[in-house]
Amino acid sequence: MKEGGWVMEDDRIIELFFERSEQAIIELSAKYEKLLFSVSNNILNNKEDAMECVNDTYLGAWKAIPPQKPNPLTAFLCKIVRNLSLNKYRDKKAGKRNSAFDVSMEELEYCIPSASVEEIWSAKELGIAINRFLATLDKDSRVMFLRRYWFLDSASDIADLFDLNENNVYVKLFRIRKGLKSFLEKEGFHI
Amino acid sequence: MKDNIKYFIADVLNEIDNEFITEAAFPKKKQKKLNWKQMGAIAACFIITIFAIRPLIEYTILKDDTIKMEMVEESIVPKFSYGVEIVRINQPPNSIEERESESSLVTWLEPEEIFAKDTHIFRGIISEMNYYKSTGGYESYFTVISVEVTDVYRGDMTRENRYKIYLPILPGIMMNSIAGDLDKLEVGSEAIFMPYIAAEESGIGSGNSFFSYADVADYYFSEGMRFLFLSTDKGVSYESDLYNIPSANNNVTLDDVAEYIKDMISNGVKP
Repeated sequence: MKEGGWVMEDDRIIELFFERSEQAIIELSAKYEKLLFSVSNNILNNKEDAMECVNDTYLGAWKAIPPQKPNPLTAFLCKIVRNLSLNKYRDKKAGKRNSAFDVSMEELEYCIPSASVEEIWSAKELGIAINRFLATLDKDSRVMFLRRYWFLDSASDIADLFDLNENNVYVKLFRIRKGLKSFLEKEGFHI
Repeated sequence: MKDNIKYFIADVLNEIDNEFITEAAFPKKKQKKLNWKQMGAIAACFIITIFAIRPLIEYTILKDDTIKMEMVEESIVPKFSYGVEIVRINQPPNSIEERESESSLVTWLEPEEIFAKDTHIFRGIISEMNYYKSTGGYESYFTVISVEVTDVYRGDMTRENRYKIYLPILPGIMMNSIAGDLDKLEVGSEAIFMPYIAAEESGIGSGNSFFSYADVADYYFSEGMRFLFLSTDKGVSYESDLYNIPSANNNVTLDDVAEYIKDMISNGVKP
């Protein structure tokens, strides 16, 4: 983060990429490094590996922009770092247990049809259904779901964010998962 | 949890809309104004909580500063592990010099979700405890208990047969914050066990080494807080905040636990 916490607008950062100015990476880092590192470290549970993924994300952005002009930039970067981190996680066979990723995926196992039905429903179909479910939630519940299962925040981080106690967070997440399970079943996805 | 399931769910989540990701990326923190009384109460609670949970967040318990050299009794020839050596030791060391980096992360799950896990559930008595050390890529001490099964609630084990269970601790010497009552187990202990099946791929590794629990046991515990119901002099010790087990006189017995488990399973909770 720059001195004084000033960060550049995404449009201007993308312009810098188009100008092939290395300042683009500096601005990207100032604005997104903390977020990207957090996503990666929650998957890998290893700071060095996470930092490597963040740097690879900058490189990926440098190669992709131009020609791409991602909008929103935030989701574009988050998806890159998440995919890179998951690839690294897969390479490390059984090496990292108990990362926030493991914990969050375990919570979702009960409400999302998984590998045994992989051949019946694709990840894309299920993902689209989950988007429909998320659209039915109020904003706070949706953000809470995303923070826990996409950004892989701990319950205590989420409690802090929403000014709740951890138990309230667990209960709310349980209700959201229950709602998701019920929604998917109504949509024809049998758990 | 199997890796393919984990990756599939991760792939599903990868399809989430950019709009939702952006919305959640930089959420605004909810602010609540507190008066001085509330702040005082919170400060007091915080201090009390820190003192109360301090023992729980200790990664290891070190009872003795002196380290006794353990005697190797038997080397295990691994079938599934690689890059590691596993030896049975005749007695555990008095203490462990280095702290184990066991994590205290525990997934919050409802009882229905826990019983839906792929565990076997049985009642039994511990007939033997052995201590092991694995060296190589992943160095660790651990315990394997033999349990003589007296009743089976889920699984294909046979009554009166003995089954081995891997514990990621050395009772009384090396434990972690999620070990629960695993630390209290001893020969003669009676309990209802809910361990995971030790498959070839169940284990832990780092780099080019992998220690498979299946090389030393039939089952394994990753944590003992929610998967063990231990009979003690003061009644059954279990996670009472999680499981609401009905009983006469508020004194839960292993029979009450058995009925509760049978009820949960018969209500359609399946792995």
